[in-house]
Amino acid sequence: MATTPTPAQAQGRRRAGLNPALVQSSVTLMILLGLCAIFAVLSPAFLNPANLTNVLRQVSIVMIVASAGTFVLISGGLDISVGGVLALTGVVFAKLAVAGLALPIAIGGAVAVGALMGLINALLVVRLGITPIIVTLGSLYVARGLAFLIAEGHSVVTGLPDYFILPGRSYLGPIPTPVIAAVAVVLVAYVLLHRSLLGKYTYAIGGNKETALLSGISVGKVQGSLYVLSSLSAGIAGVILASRLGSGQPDAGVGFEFEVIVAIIVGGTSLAGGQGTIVGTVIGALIVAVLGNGLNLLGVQTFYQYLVQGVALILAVLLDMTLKRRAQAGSASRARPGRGTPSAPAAGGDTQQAAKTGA
Amino acid sequence: MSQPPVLELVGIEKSFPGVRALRGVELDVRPGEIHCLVGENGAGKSTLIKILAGVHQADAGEVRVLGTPRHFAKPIEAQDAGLSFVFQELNVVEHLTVADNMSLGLEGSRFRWDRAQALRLAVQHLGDLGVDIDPAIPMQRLRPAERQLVMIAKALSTSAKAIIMDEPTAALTETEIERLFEIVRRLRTSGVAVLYVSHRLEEVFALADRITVMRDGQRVATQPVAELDRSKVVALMVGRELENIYEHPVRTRGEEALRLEGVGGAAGRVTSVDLVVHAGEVVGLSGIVGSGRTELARIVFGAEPLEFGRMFLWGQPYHPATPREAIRRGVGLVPEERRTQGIVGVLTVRENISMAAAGRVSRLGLVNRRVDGKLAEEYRERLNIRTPSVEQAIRLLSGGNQQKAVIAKWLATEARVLVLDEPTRGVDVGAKAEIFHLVNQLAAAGNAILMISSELEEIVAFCDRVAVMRDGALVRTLAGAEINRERVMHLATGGE
Repeated sequence: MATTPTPAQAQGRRRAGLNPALVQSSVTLMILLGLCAIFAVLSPAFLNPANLTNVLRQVSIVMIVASAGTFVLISGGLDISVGGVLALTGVVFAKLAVAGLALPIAIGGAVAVGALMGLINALLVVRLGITPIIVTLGSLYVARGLAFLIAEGHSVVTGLPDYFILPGRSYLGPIPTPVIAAVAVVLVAYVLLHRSLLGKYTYAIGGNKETALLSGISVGKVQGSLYVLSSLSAGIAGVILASRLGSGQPDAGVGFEFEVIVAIIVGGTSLAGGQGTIVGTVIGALIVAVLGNGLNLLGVQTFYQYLVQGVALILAVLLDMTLKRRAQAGSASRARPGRGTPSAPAAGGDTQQAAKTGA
Repeated sequence: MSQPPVLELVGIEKSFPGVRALRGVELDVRPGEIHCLVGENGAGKSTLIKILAGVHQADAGEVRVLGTPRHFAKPIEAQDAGLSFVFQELNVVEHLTVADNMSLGLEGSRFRWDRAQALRLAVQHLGDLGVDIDPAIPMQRLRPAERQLVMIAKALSTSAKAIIMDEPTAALTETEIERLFEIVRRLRTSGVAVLYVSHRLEEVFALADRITVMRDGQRVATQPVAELDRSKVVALMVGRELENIYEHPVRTRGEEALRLEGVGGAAGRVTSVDLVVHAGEVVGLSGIVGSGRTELARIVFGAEPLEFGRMFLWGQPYHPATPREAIRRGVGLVPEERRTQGIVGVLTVRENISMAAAGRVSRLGLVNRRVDGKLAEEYRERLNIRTPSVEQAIRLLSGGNQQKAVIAKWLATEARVLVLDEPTRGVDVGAKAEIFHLVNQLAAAGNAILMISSELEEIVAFCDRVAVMRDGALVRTLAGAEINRERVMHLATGGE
């Protein structure tokens, strides 16, 4: 800017450096590192490279789906069909493999089935205007039902070619293939959310749908494509999971949709839409995975782990709310001594407010 | 006169379920003309704008841009046709930056989110407007006035053929309004067609080349500004003399009902308010959008936290932590947003009226339907609530009748201190007069009334005293002869 900034503006600039999303990511990152430190002290096995690799391999499936799910949540939507789609695409992958198709075609077919489920979700949400939670709850059951139908009621194991375990169990150098897939998906998601107009429109729709519409954005198309992306990612995850399990299991991934949502929310994305980051989701997924792994190493029984996960979710949301309220109080105390209006009376109140919030 | 109009509306008709919102509206805006559209709330101005913007589609009639008939199925098509809008509601995405808001939907690229370019353009367009706002900060950090300026800068950035502004000054200060006027006049000079919607007549007369007046979904007049004056426009707008509406009897001031001392709260949006309201009087609370009026009302009603200062009710300390406590102490709030805060649309008129007065209509937690029905009937008659039956779902009533039911709700609780936040917003003139009549009756019966309104006319003509708020603080309380429009406006927008 050519003009000299006014004091108020300079203050605005300084505060602009304190990006709330950044603060939040830093806090969640510290929680993750804190957890790692605690488990490292309590269990010598935790920092073992084999264990860490294991954690990463486990988290990769959640991370793939959560990356795409972050878009849906930021846009103010919700996709809980991913558990069903995960099982369905796993079964489809196995069936195609048994049928003797080449690996890329089998993967492509499974992922395409995932994308098709997403398209159905998209049409029901966008065209017919049915609430996302209802639509995806329905398609969760439909997808799982289809998985059982295609698999004829039991796991698809017999006749699987050797390549079937490649996506889930192989390594590229020292790194497990699922981890590489997860990194790739995360990178694509990062670019899409933070560097592309799809990302910008996703934030805009979640922040204020009416504004997005009035700004000439094709809200329906954007929303629809997010559901397709979400199911497509569940398709990729389905292939990896089936491969890791060594069979196409129609009952795979029961409750998976909630693991995904927990990871996204722990990562700081708001269910109300408009806010969230891919980095946050990655950290969120890692927190959940590290928590599970650490508790396992310490020999804590599964049912206690449920307790811990539930409490962790609620604490994460509480932290999120606290940070946001801080940010809001901060912006309110800044915004009041009105620029452009030569107003003295507000100044007294401002100091009072500052003293109160300890800002 | 020889130039073809940039924007032309011919025989526009629009109905919503139960309402004929627009009936054969004609309007044309020529290049280099500022055309002002005025009318009461509910006259159909906003519906007309939404049809232009592609949000609603007309049932009949034609929109022409530069002589070509156009049909806008969605907002992007109106944009592409060269129309640009500043909407009445602050349409912003709070978590995106100022620059990203300004470029939203106008990005040059198809795929890339180019923040740097958005910033560059934002700096340029804000600079053109002479607005000193950092485009890199999130929208949520801005005051309502600043947000409005940003959206105006956005509308101007598209080099549109026609710019449509719907109440653009609602949140602006006097200086900012003047700056906006300069810009609008500059647009006129450069040949842009400006359609300016406002109900503030002083603005209209300061800007307009021609004025179109709407009433009840119809155009009642389009005339050059030289042929009109304020009273003519007002008469055209309301279809009768104004004096009849704001009936202001001599009121007797009783004992002190509500006293606020150094009140602040609502997360810092109210900073320091000293105010006394007596039984039998109507005190107006004025201020621009975002000045903290509504927040103050909510503090008094226990819906926002009181962070500092003290409040007294009938001389007793009064610090309600919840609305429930406020209601128990005899305080009622007719909230700003009738549809979302005042009524429960799917419930009946009867259920809405007795909602806050459970004690009067129930015993041991069970509602006595007979008592409940009698109470509702009593208020229907007293307040002249027009409904086929009290068992009708309240959402089917007109705005004015809904509002009367909301007031009845507080009468049913036997509240004696009533805070009315925009009680006449979105109601027609007839219902407005009835509501004022009712408020007069309440004051005469010894109730204390605190009334918030954005309609200066209303505040000035109807209130015994007027408290003016700015930036969360009460700047001044005017009484008697001190009360006039200019004074209130001046205080509200930064004068002393």
